[in-house]
Amino acid sequence: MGMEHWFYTIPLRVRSLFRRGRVDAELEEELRGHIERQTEENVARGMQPEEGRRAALIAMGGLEQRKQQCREERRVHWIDDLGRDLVYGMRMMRRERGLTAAALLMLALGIGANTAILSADRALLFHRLPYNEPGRLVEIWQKGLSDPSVDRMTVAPANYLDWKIDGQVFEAFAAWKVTTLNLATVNLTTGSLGGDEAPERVLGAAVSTNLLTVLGVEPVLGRGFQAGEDTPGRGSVAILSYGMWQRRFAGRRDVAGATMRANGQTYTIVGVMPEGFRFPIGYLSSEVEIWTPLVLTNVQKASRKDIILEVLARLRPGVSLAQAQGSLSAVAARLARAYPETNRDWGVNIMPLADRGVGEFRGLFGLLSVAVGLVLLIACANVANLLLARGLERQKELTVRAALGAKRSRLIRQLMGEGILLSLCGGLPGIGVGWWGTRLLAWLAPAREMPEMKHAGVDMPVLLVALGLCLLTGVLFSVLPALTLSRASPQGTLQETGRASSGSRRAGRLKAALVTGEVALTLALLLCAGDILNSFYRYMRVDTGFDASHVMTMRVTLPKQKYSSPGEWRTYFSRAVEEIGTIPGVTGAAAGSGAPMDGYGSVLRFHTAGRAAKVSFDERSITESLGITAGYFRVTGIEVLRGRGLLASDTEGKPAVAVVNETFARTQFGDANPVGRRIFLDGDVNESAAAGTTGPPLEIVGVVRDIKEYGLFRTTPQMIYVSMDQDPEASMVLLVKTPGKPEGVVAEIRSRLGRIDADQPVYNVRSLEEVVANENAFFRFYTLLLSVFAVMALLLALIGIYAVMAWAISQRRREFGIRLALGSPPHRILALVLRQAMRMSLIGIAVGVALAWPTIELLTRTVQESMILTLLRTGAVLYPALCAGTGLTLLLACVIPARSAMGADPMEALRCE
Amino acid sequence: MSKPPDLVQGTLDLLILKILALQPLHGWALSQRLKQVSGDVLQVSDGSLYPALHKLEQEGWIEAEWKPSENNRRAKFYTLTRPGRRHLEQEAANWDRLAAAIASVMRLKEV
Repeated sequence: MGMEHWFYTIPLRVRSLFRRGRVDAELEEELRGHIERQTEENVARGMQPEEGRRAALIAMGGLEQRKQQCREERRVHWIDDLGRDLVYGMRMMRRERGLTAAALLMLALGIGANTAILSADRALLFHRLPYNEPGRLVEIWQKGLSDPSVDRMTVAPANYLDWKIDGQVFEAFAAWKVTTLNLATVNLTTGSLGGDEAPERVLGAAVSTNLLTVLGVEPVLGRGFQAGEDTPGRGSVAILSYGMWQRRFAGRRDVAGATMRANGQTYTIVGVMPEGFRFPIGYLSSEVEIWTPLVLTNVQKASRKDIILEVLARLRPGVSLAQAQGSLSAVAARLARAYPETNRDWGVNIMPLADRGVGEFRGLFGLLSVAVGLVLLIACANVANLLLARGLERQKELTVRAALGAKRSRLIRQLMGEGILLSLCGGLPGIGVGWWGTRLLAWLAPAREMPEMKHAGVDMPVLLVALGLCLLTGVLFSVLPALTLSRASPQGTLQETGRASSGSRRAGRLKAALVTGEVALTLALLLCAGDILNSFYRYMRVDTGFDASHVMTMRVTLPKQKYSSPGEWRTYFSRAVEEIGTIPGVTGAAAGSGAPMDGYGSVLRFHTAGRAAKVSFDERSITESLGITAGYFRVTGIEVLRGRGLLASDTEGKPAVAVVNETFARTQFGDANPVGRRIFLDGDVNESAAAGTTGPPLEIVGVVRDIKEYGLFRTTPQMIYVSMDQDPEASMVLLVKTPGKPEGVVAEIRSRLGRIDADQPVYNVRSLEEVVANENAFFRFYTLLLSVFAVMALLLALIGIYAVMAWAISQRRREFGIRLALGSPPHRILALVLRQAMRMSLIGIAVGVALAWPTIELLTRTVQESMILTLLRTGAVLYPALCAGTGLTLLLACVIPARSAMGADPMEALRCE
Repeated sequence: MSKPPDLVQGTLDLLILKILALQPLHGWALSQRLKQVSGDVLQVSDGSLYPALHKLEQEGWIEAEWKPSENNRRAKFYTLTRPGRRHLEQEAANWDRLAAAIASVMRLKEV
């Protein structure tokens, strides 16, 4: 059957559907014409006209049946049926407003919550990378062969250059690293471009010149980098993000070729990337806005120790991840043999670029999706119950239809059609709710941990999946009632007087099963949410070890191009602390290389006097180190337990001193007094031990309280505080204590710092309380979501169970009436109801606990892996309380309507037929 | 006299297509033509004719057109379409094969 066939049939179908009256009239005319001619023929043969007509009709064998047969040949009657079912369904929905409203509300909530989580899933887990053929892009890490937890280590330049020689499976390699740029204030009128705004600190990336080619993206204005622009000493060039171009350069087209100053250096802007281009994606708290060529010195290019690069590559078409992994592993093994000293322990790890920043959310959001799916399932069970209840009242109508010849399949189709109509009517506003919910999620989500969430939205794929979910929901909640109700045998139901006295047995069993299932699912969700909520609140009460109130923090990073020596750093920050200290209303000012809990300290190897420096990696021989000024402990409220804190007199030239925390003292010296002991620093932990140079010894002068440096739910690391004066750093946090709200002094601080150097931006301005809140933001967000879904499930289940119980008991009024009239005491009837409720709740609780058990295990493991957070076991109180509460709630939902049924006059109940 | 045998399944379609291949006809004329050509051997009831016609039309094998008939009454004339003609050729070939096969079986003699 070719196209030609459709040419004839499609117009016919369309005509049958939309010109039904005309088509039917033609059919009528055609058959009547036949009868008339046949009658004439018969008359011509000598019959009487009446007789002739009768004979013609008999030959036709029933005019109406023939018409119907002809109509059925049109192949579109199912559409007619569907239309009729929908109209009928609409009428039913209008007639039973209360029930419909309840069902629609529950569906809208369920679909809405699911849509919101779907769009979050899409933003976090299934985003499409804004590059050409992103499926062939991979990132490559160094993998520790001796320590499997080190599976994503950045790459040493010499290794990267050796990998690049491989041309068999990889089309091209590119490398990059994050940089930061302090954009200076530049006046627009002076020729070179730049906003007039305050100096600003932006995130940049130094990238190999072929990066854009590897990604397959062209600049929207100007050009990409050219080979050779990464030669050390050549003038610097830069490419801007679209956002930066609009914000800072007002979208001027003459920006290409203009210069701008950043980090005390002049950059020539060569291009602007298109809107929506982002690189890198994931892990960074804000987006990169400037790309510059990655410049590697010859010393760096030869280094296999400095792991400073992130590497990505494009696979040749058709090459699998496993092939690439195999090929590059062989290269790594060769390098390990050639350079055993540096490369013995390093393999390679190749991952799809699309997985970047996805892994940590996959498990957590998978679980969340299941939770929100359960909410929808509970809504489904409720609606199924409502449909079942309504269906039983419609049993007579269905039976009459069956008696008139409707096939069972036709009845099922009708009932399911009504169900799907209901699900669409609830689901479409539900998707609207979901859109709103997505906005809410994007707003609630911690921007630092989940930067991708701000791109969340209900786009076409989400919309399609949500619509599919709607349809699935409709099928799901209408299939069981439809199967049950369509089974009606004509005699049975028609003989029953009035309403079904106790509903059909099958329907009763289905109803009980649905209620039991709801109890089980709700309880399982409640137990999971209870577990995580309990952990959350217990962690929130943990003492941080410092006083975050009324402290403002802000960071200044001095560019090495302008401030090249440690002496200059010291001078700048000493002056800054001094200036800020004189602001009226400021009660304390200090600087530190990091604020408590902000994660900026450096991690160093060390050894104590009398022990040799360790070469291998060992928890005990590394310490977190912060350089601070004298006021630091006072401003942050960190208590000095032994000896003294750092003093203004611990300056350069004086003996080098350090203050350690409790954990350090306990780990290194046990109960002995650490004051007066000496430690030796052996360099940064990320550099090989051989590279570190052991500096002069530090004398421990005091011990301070432990603080929760790595977050509320992590153990405190060993920490030392050294004097900023004796070991200056270029990037410091300024901490300012005020008597009242600390936000008020920020403007004044900015202007005072501007007096020292107007080109240096102040960034990361936030109160210490915000730093602490940020630290728990993701955990808080996750706990909130899970709890909200559990509460939704509980409410839905409560409403649903109450409604179905109230209905079931109202159906039994007659039975109760008879029992009461026959002398049964009311409490016996109540006991009857209770017994049934008890059975449902006990089975529900048992199944719920059985479901919750492995789920909580999974949740605990997922949270551990993704948030590095150990959930606290809820123990013996919360679980039984939640189980008992759920059971009691169900009993109440049964007893309340039962009691009201008891109160009725038995005679009235009997008469109400 | 025994009842004439029912038409073999699908044969009515074949007959209709074959007759329409000769000339466009309306329903009544077609029924007269059927009786005329097949005599009393194949009795096609007027009742089964119209559903069959409508089915063939919906399949796209024939198309219909309202035209004035011989005595100036409006009637629905059916014409074979091009796909219908191809279909007829196929079916006719099938029929020939079937008939030949059955005939050859019937020619077998008891020994």
